[in-house]
Parts: sequence; C-alpha cells; structure tokens
Amino acid sequence: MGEIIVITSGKGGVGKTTSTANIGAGLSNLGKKVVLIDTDIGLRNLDVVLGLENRIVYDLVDVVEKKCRVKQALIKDKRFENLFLIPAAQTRDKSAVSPSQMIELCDELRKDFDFVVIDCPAGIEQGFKNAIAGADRAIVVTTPEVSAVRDADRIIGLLESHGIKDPVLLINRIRIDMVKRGDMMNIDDILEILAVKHIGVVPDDEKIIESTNRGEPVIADSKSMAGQAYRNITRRIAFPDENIPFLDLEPAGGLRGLFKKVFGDKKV
Amino acid sequence: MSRDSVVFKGTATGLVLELDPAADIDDILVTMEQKMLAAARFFKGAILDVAYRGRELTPEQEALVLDLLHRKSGARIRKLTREQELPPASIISQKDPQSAQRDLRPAHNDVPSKPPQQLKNQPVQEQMLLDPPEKEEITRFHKGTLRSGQRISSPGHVVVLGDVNPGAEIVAAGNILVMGVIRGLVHAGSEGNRDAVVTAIRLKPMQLRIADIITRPPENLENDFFTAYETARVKNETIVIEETGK
Repeated sequence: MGEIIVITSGKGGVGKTTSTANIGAGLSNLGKKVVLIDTDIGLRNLDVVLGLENRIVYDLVDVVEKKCRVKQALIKDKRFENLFLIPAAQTRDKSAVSPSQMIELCDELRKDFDFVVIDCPAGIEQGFKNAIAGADRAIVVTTPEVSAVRDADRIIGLLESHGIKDPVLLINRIRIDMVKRGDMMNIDDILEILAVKHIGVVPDDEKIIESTNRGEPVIADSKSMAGQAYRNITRRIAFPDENIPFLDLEPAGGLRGLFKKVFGDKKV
Repeated sequence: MSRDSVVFKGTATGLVLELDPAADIDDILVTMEQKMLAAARFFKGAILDVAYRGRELTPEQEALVLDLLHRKSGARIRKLTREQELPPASIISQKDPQSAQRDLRPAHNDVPSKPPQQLKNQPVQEQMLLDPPEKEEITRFHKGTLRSGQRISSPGHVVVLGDVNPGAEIVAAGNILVMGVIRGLVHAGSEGNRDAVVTAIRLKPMQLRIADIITRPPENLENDFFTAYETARVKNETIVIEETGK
C-alpha cells in the first residue's frame, strides 16, 4: 500500500511546486512508483514545471467527476520512469473538488503506487482542505523569512487538528552567506519556533530557475547543490531508517572556499 | 390546431410567452413542450426572465409552466411573471405598427423602429426563436486576449480578436479564427467535424485538436518566419499546418 504525502506551506512562492516535482522525480529515480497530484485548480503549475503541459487531455476535475477513468488522466513523465502526474484543471476553481472525493481518489491510487505526492495550493481554504484530506503525512515547505515561518506555524497547527501528526519541515532557499552575516534566519531559529523535525534544507540556487523554466526537475542535475539537497530528501522519505547526513552548505569553490580548505574553518 | 396556443418571443432580458386566451392550459403545456424540444439547443445554457401575456394564469398553472420550462428548455429560468411587470422598453420583438395587433406593442413609442423589410413578416427575433439557426452558424466573438484559465466554447464557430495564452481554452463545434497568436489549447470540430479548421496569425498552440485528433507541436519548435496566417486542418487523418501569404 502506498503512502500519501502532501506538500504544503500556507504562504505562496516558497517552493511547494518545485519541491513536489523534485521529490516526485527523486522518488521515481530510487525505483519507486510515484504519482503527483496538482490540487491547485485554476492556477495549475506542476505540469509546467515538469514540462508536461502540452500532454494534458484529462485532469483532476474530470477524474472526480468521473468523466474519465483515473488511468486516462495519468500523464507519464518524459524523463523519469514510474513518474506520473494528474494535473489540475485550469478553467475551474477549487470548489470543483471536495475533500471526500480526494480521499476516494487517494485510496484508489494507493493500491497502484508506492507514493502519492500532493501539491497543495497556497492558502488555508478549500484547496488546502482538498489537498490534505487524503494525506497520511505532510511536508511543510518554508523559507527563512518571518512571514513564511509564521504561515508554516499556522499550517502545522491546522495539519495537527486535521489528524496529520508529525509534519516535517523542508527549509527552502537558504543562503548560507546571509545566515553567516546574520541577515537571514538560521535553521535553528526556524526549528525552535516551529518545534518540528526537518527533512532537509535546500540552498537558494539559480539552477532551480533555469531548470523550472526548461520544465526539467533540478534533481537530475548532478552539479546542482539544490539537486543534491533534494536527492537527500527523497532518500530520507524513501528509506526512513537510513541515516543520511545533512548537506554541507558551505560554498565549496572560490577563493574563500580554498582558504577554508587550507586554513580550516575558523571565523568564516 | 389552427393557431398556436403559445408563441415564444425574445426580449432583451429573456422571453415572452404569448398565450392564446381560448386555449386550455393542457394544450398550452403540450405546445410549449413541442416547441422547446425543437429549439432545445437554442435555449441551452441561457439565463432567462420569462413573462407571459394574453391570458391570466393561476398560481398553480404558473407553477406548471415554470416547472416545464425548467425541465425542457435547458435554460436557467430566473423568474416567471405576467408581462406588465417587465419594463416595456425591454421588448425587442415588436409587431408591425400598422398591423391590427397594435395593442400588443409596448406602451412607449420611443422604441426605435425597425427597417421596413423586417416589419413585413414575423419579427426577426421571433423567427430566430422558433427556427434556431443551424448551430454551425452561431459564432461566438471575443474581443481581447484570452488569458490562462479562461475558456470559450461554442456550438458554432469562435472568433477571437487577440491572443490565446497558455492555459486558455477554446472549444468550438465549428471553426476557430484567432486574430493573434494561439499559445493555449484549441479544439475545433469538437463534435466530430474533421473538416473544421483553426486559423491564427501565429500557431504556437500548447495542444491543437480537431474533432477526435489531438496533436502537440514538436518539443523544440523554432519557426519564427513571417506568414500572414496559419491554418491547421486535417489531412490524411493527421493535423497539418499550412502557411498562407508568405
């Protein structure tokens, strides 16, 4: 029986969709059978990020309205074996789907897939309620900004009241140089406020923007730090018993990196 | 039946039922049903205020008529009232001022008069209601860019003066003409007509469908050469794009 994971955040623009695409791609790379569901009806993006927009014939609303079979709405990814997408409808709104329909769909998909990863829309309204309805566990995405952390706190509370225990945190777009200067919240500050475990820290990386615009998850890019962070996160999801060390986010290259290698990390 | 017990007339906001004072209610209901079945596609999806005139209806009879309208017209009926409650200026369907049916004209005379040829026979509006045009003749016209999430559908053709952006959709049983760039999804001949075509200044669709055939452009499409317009049509079971006016 597969596991249903919702990726949520409350605040918009923190990287839910990017994380969903990369975690899905990463899990399928580890040999898991994965389906992604975009529940952001009316503002769909996941299909664009995966470069599958032009293959959409049926969508989530068609599935729940029984206009097509679930299998017909599954879009096979073009690069990753065993990765599928159920896209959101673009010309409808969140009220086109109900939480009970989502539970029914998740339970059906659970039979055929190892992981069902749900991309949640921003906000705490109907779309959020739909997204979390069928979920077993949640990954809360936040960035090191007070507003995003505040919203993540609200979301964690809502998840717990909906019976989703122990959500884990994914801290996205961290810039270690800013943290060092004291200009950005550090990981410990965030974890102290939110009091949950974190599943990974993804550095801010220009490669993300490049790969998103190309419609290819960054996880496939072996040179990208963000890609490495996502690879670690997916291993932690797929093999919870394994101990995967957290990524060293120190900048490796450049003069500063060289100094550090030679003289050791004293003050930097 | 020498004379119809019900005549349908269009107004700016809805529909007027002209009832024969001599006919009984059952006869009226049967005639209404027949007419609505014949014109079902015309009413479909419309939102109508319906008024009646010619005779009085008891509240029970009114309920019967309303129920029938709800069930058979395919339109959403906002209300059913006696005619005088509708503002007279909203009546489009006027009778010939010179005819004997002068009493049926709206009370105000400041309604613009119609060209002579339309006054001779039945008013044009009424003709349309009784004999709906072939659905292919209906054209939906959209002025401005069609943006993501916007959707236009038509039982006939669609004309857009502007672009069709990614995430926007046009579905037409007939042809589609876009005076701009198509970047979204378009579906012509949606009810199975493979002769339908899609024409646009630039065709860069996310997905293009004609009847039951679905295509998408090749992954790395770079064709920014100039054409006056491009037309997609079905040839030998596949959708091909023709450039015109190079």
